[in-house]
Amino acid sequence: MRCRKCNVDVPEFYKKCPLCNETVFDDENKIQNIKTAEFPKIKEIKTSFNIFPYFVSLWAIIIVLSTVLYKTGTFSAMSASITISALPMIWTFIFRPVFIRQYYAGNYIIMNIYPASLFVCLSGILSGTNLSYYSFYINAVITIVCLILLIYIIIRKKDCHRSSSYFILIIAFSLALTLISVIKGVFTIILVFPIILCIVAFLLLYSRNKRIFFEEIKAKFSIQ
Amino acid sequence: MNNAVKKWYELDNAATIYPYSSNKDWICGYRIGFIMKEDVDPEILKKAVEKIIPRFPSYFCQLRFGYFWPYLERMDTLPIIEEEHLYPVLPTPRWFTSVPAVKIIYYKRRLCIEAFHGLSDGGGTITVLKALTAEYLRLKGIDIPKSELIADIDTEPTEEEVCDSFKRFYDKKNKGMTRNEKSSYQHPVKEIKGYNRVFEGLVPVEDIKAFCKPRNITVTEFLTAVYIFALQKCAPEDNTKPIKISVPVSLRPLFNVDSMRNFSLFTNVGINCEKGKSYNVDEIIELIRGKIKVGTTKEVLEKNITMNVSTAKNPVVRVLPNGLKKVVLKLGYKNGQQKFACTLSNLGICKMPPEMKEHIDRMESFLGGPRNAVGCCVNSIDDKLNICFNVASKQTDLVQAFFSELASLGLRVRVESSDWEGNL
Repeated sequence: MRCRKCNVDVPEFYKKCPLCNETVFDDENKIQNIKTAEFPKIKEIKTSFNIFPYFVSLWAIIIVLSTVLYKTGTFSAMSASITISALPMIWTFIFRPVFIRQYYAGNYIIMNIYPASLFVCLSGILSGTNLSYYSFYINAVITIVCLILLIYIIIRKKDCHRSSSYFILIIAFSLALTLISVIKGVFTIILVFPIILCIVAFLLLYSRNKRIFFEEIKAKFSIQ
Repeated sequence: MNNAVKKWYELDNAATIYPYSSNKDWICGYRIGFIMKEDVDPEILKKAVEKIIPRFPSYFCQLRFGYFWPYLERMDTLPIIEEEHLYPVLPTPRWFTSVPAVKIIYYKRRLCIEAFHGLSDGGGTITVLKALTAEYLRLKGIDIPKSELIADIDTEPTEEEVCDSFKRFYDKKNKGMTRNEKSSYQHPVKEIKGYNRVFEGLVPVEDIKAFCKPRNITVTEFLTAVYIFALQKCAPEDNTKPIKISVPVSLRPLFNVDSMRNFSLFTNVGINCEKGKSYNVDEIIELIRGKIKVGTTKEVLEKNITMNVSTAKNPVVRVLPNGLKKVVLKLGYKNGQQKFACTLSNLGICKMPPEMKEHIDRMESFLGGPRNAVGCCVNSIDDKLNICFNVASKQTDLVQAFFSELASLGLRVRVESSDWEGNL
């Protein structure tokens, strides 16, 4: 078949030219001996709405809000939380781009809610507000959720790469929290949960595949 | 253990931009495939893929993000092998999975590889595709002799294949290259998300030769001239911006390197436009004659390599955390995209033993990015030159202008599309 407008040949079963959409006609001068390589019929793909990426800015909101509250003097007791807002900042700009993979529920808990809970707890402790009253429960619940997740990863034997990233995060955040608290001279019973989690995660990871773990750390921190 | 087989590979110099220019939903990729003479058997194909994976350790990898740089992780799992059910080279999220950033697609007679550009360029993917096809045919009981034209899967991968060849040919002395270049006219394309339409224009090689030989020009120069003409035709009359095409050049033959990573650079070729003035194809040929050759001489390319590698070697750039690097490089990538209107990638003649050629009808290749532009890829097997376009839109003006101009120059053109009226 041939399109007289575009002056090109088209496959035998085309009724219209794919370039100009004009009707095509049979023509003797067409290129011979070419078989059409068919493409499948494709259904239109509708992209689904994913709410999780919108939570990514959670940390930015926390930083801005706490800064504004502190600067305006609305909530001066939040001053201590400013001190540790470096933690979410490090998370937002450095750790998240490094470790984030996809917004799976488990991933989301570790990547966002767990560090958020640590942030809230520490803000409460350091600022001496009522926040510390609830922080014990928040942290305990979230730590238990993380522990369940840890057990789930081990039982399911998910791919080594992804689970080791979870482990690394648990260890990193727990250590960061402990370190900040020690520097500030604060050490309460609530820190026991993340510390235990940290030790368990590290030991499990090490016993699972120590060679790959250290090689992966090397690859992750390579400056080329 | 062979030094070429590692669990993690650094991205090569040319590949570093791709992870940053992509986003969660889209990665910069491309498709290269063969149209076989018979329907593809998926079971045999799967076995063939399993057999070739160990031979290409740096190819069957997945992208990972490190603290400072992205890197590749070799995967021991099979890549996705599936019957085509999506638009070709569709932007699909393939990151962060446990399978390689490669997809093997088959549909009736079609056997192709869709790969992330960070793994390798067209040259590397053709090597893998040829090895895969040869193995597939062997498993089907066809005798394909070992040949220099196909990578031998029984041999070990070499360090030369997996190393970053840009770093190898980096020489501090080759300075003097700058990135200062005028912005090009940009062809407006109304992009449809989740849609990609491809066109294949088959032209007999004898027709192209009959046109190029008397004018003493190469096929790439000729097609670039026609592409520029088509863009000029679609541009508004008052356009004064230069119309430029980006032409990638494989560095393998020039530097005599057998690399499986990215080892290509590009040169931008174009014409300056004046208000109300338009050129015909012959005039454009005269304007761009020799420009591709000048832009792809060994000296110029060495300077280019040095410029790119020294940027990556800058201590500040090296220790910049990934999050910040992403912001900087994304801006750089966007700026680079403004320097040309479209890309024309000529993969050249695909050479293979005659025993294998017997079973292959033709070759197809599509560019997956940049998202908002029209990509053009050219290849040839035997007497068929295949000019493949992909457009993320239902708009066909530029492709129509290109093919109808080819036809008006006396060349026979046969156009096929993924969205013909029966498929719409």
